[in-house]
Formats: sequence, C-alpha cells, structure tokens
Amino acid sequence: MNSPTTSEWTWMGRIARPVSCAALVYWALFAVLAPVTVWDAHVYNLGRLPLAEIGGLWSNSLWTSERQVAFPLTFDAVHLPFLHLGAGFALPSFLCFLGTLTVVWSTLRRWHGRDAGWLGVLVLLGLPTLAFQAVATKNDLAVFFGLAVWFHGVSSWQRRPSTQHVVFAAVAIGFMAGAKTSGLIPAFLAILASGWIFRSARTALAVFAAALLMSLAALGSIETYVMAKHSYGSPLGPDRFVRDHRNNDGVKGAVANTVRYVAANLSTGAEPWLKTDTITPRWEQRCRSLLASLDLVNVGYRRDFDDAHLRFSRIGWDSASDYGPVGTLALALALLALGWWRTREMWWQLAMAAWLLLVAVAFSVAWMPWNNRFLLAPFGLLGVAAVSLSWRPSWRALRWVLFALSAYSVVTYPLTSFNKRPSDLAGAILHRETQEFKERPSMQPVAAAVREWRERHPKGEVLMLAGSDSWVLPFLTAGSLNVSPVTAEDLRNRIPANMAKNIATAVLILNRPDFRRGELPLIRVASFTEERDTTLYTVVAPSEMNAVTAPFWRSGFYADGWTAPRAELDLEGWTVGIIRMVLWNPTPIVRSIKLASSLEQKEFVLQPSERLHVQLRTARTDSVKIDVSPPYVPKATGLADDSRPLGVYVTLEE
Amino acid sequence: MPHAKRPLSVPSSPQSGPRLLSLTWENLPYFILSLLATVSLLSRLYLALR
Repeated sequence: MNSPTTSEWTWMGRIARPVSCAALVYWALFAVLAPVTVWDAHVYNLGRLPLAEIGGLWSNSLWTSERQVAFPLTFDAVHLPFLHLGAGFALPSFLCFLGTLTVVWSTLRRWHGRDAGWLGVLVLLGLPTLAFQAVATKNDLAVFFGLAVWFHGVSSWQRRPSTQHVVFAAVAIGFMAGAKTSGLIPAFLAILASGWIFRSARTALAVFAAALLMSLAALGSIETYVMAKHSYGSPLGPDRFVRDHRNNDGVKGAVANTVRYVAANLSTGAEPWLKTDTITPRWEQRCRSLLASLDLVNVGYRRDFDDAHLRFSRIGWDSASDYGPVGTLALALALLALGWWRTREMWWQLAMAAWLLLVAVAFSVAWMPWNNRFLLAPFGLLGVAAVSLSWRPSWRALRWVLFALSAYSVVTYPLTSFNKRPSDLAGAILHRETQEFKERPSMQPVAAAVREWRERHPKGEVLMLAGSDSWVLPFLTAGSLNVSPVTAEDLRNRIPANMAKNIATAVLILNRPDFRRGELPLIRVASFTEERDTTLYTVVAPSEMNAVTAPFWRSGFYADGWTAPRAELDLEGWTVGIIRMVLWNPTPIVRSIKLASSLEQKEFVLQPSERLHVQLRTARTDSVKIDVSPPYVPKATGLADDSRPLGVYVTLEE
Repeated sequence: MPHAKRPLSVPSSPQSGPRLLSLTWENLPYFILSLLATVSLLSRLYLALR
C-alpha cells in the first residue's frame, strides 16, 4: 500500500483544477444542449423507449431490432423522462462521469494529496473516448460508473464500517449488471471481490447478500432476459445474434483481441492534426504481422470482419476513437506492471484489475471496430494507476508528463472531434436537426420529406414500417413528425381503414428490403437513394393510380451517377415491359456485372473504360438488381479507397 | 483524513430531523447512483405496466 503523503498542493493542482472545471463546464453544456447523435441510440438504446410506450414490453409486435428486445434496459430507461422533455439526453451519462470523477478525485486525494486528486480528474478528462462517452447516450459509461461506486463503497467500508457503504456497493453491482450485457463481467468479479472483502464481517456479508439480491432484482434488467427468452427462446437473444457477437475462438481469440486492443490504443497524440493519418495504418500493419507470426490471423472476430480490413478508428466519433497519448502512456505502464510485480502497491493492483477487465472483454466479445468503448473501465483504471505510480519516490517526472499530455488532450481531442467541437455546441441550438443526423446525414432528407407531407396534411397520419437498422427515434419523438409505427400486417389493415374514414395517410418505409408495394394503393412521394430501401408513399384511391410512373432507385445509387456494388432499381406501373440503360466502367480493372429482373437475368464483363448499352425485360411492378464484382476498386486508381465499395456508372435511357 | 467530510453546503440544523445520507463530496456518487437507479426503476415499471 502506498504511504499517504502530505496534502500536496502545488501549481500543478492549482492549474489542473480550473482546467478540469472548465472542461467539465464544456461537457455539461453538451450534455444539456446536444440532441441524440449516436447511431445505436437512434436504432435501439433509446429508439426502443417510445416503441415500448406504445406497445409495452411484453408481446410488443412493434420492435424493429432484436437489440431492442435483448439488450439490458436499466440505464437506457433513465432517458425516458428526457425524451419527453426534449433536452438533456446526455445528462445521465454526464452524471455517471461526474460520479466516477468524484470517486477518482477523492480516492487519489486520500492516497496522495490534493494535487493527485485533481491530476486524476484531468487524466480522465484527457482520455478522449471516455470524455466523448460522458456526453453520449450509450450505456458503457454506466458500467464504469457502477464499478467506481462499488469500489468507493467497499473502500469506504474498510476505513469506516457502515451499512450505508455495503448497501451502495451492492446497488452499484446491480446497476452495472443491468446497464449492459458486458457489465455482467465486472459485476461478477465485484461480487467475488466483495465476498473476499466482507469475509470476516458476518453482518456486513449478510447485509451485502440481501442488498445484492434486491439490487439485481430491481436493477438487473430481468425483464429483457424474460422478453428475449419469450421472443427468441434464449435469454441473451437470438442464437445467431449471440454467436455473431461473442468470441468463438476461445483463448486464441482472446489473445488476438488483446493484441488488437493494445495496438489500437497506441497513439502519438499527433493523429488528430494530421490531414491524412499515416501513423495509424502502420500500427494496423504491424498488428497484422504480429498476429500472423503468432498464428492468430482472423480469430476472435465477428464474422463480417477480418484482419485484412482491420481498422483502428481515430476519427473522433463517440464509438470510433481511442484513448489518446494519455491512454498510450497508461498502457505502457500497464505493460511494465506485468514484469515489475509490486503486489502491495495500489497502482499495481489497479493495473492488474485493468488487465483482468480488458482480457475478459477480449475473451467474451468478438472484435468489432467500435469496441474501444468497451474498455472505458480498463483505461480509466490505468489512468488512475498511472497517477498513483507517479507519486512513488523517483517517479515524480511521470506526473508532469501525465499533466502535460492530459492538458493537451483535453483541448485537442474535442477541437478535432467529429461532433464535439464548439461549432457542434452552437449547432445543437442553431442547426439542431443537422447535428442530430450528423452520423447518418442520409436520414435528414427522409425526416424533411415526412415533415413536408405532415405540414400539408396536419390532420393526416404517417404510418411507419421500419427495418432492423433504422433510426426510428427521430420519427417517434419529434413532435412535428408524429409518426405511428406499424407492423406489415397492421399496414394492410390501417390503409383501408383510414381511407374509409377519409384520413389522409402517408406510409414511410424505412430500410425494409423485404417490402413490396404489391396491390397496396400507394404512390411514391419521395425515395432516398442514399438511404437503403427507404421510400415515402401516400395513399390514394385505386382509381387514381397512374398508369406509368418513373423508375426509382431503391438502394445503392449515389447522386454522382455511380452505383454501389449492389444496387436495386424499382419499377412501378412500368408498362413498357423493358428497361434500357448504359453501363460504364471508367475504372482500370475488369468488372463483371449481373443484371436481374423477375423476367430475365443477364451477365456482362466490362473491360476498363468500356461502355455498354443493355436492355432487360421487366414486369409491370418489378425490381432490377445490379451486382458488380469485384466490389472494391483499388485505392491506387484514385476513384475510391478500399473503404468505399464502388459499382459502375449507370445512366437510364428513355 | 483531513478531507473526508467536506460539506457541499452549510449543514442543516439539528432541528431539521434525521438524514439518511449527508450531502458531501464523498457521498455524491451515492446520490447520483440513487437518482439514476430510482429513475430507471420508475421508467421500467411504467413501461412494464403499459
């Protein structure tokens, strides 16, 4: 155990405190003002709350994603009042952050003095992913907060035995277990550790056991396990879904993922300023080489990712950032701790706890590019461990390095982030909808089209049939859109019912590749080529259906004339019986193209720069699919990079 | 432990009655957890009973 030092208060602490407070004020403003911005929250974390308000939790047929049913609800449900309020969506996360900082501040201050307390706060603010999560609406930070409160409870109890600390330690475990499925790991470890800590205090142990049972019952999100069991036969969700998202390669997968997590978090701190980040691809390549030399290629992945496309995202998104140079330094010290055993010192114990949590994540969860936020607790603990180590005699220089890197990161990373800049804060007020859709700008025209229709038909009804990757939240919460979610079966019943009552009706099909208009009396109002399988229709009397309408791209067509490798062109009331188009391959590689309608299939090989006039027989209501391979154009061609798949250039002929 | 109990505000008078948890920096994480847990529980009950 480190010996408590004097309550040191030098100019380091005197600077760290106002800098930290200024950063906290900045993030607090974000928490209050920012709209919901995160992809996951729009689709399921918060998107499911209005659906549950309409259809309840049990036997709700309106769910649009298995994640809405199977993922723990405890933390997401905290946002319900804020959805009604229309503001402060990130306040629950910010409160978690504030609570975690308080635990860190009070712990380090007790161990090493005031300087250490404020340096600890600054270090945590200097971990970009952690700071971004503090103003997001994801549940990862709630797990770290639960762990921090548990630690606060048991360490306070060790100093001053009181039932209050035991009860809160138990409540914190229930909270982290119910916040996120991956929170079950730290919750389980915390239960084991609590048993050890309370082992010689029978009363405390009994109180803890009783409080833990009540806490798990009240906060463990039991309802989602019941819902998933009822819907999918398994409490964790559909078997395929669970299999896809867990590490299926055992120890080999865990080792490979640990290597990836470490390599993904080696940052110089210069990356945010680089116009083209040339540093990160080198780390990716070295990580690939290391994995190959360890015979660990492609193990530990979700099935749609592999080492050939390994990406360490540092693009300043909530879910695609790293922990900056502070995280890298803390990680280096954690590696040092592996060979330099100081079992009685708190920094070493924290470093080992961080390793345990990191390896547990690597073992249990399949690698995906956005997994870095799963590591909030390990990196938070490593940050605290680094501060504690820097108060060791002869390690004094480390605290200045930590101070400098943290101060740099606190300023640099928000300024260079994707949607946490001061201009984004202003945008949260002035251009709120643009800010809301910044992660998926292709959704903004959809919302605009619905709003326009709604303004023309204030008493009408918009029915929404959404798919599993749909941003349902904006349509269910924004008052001016006022959309009613329906199932496919509801849709067929509601249209004639509304027609009978003379209610103007629009139908929003959102990311539903399986939807076919068929005989429904629907006329297309708007389609959205950048947003897959999305169309706004209006209901008309069958006699008003036009004989001939224009073809429109259901998916995979870019505004510049290019298609994606897979694209789909829809025809409604197409009486010509044939579609003509020009395919152009301006790339320097040979492309093979398949065209298919319900009546005919054709295959072509397009040489570099070749243009081809083609025609295909079609039905009156049909869908023409275009499939291009290879789907990627080499980066060297300058037409695209290997992260943007590209099809061919298409022009429709009259 | 010189910093263990620094009050956030002036402590209430003894006449104000017993308090479960005094509002200190040390207890702030407990207050936040209590608040989040209560809102979560009420919201989930509301959703479950619909």
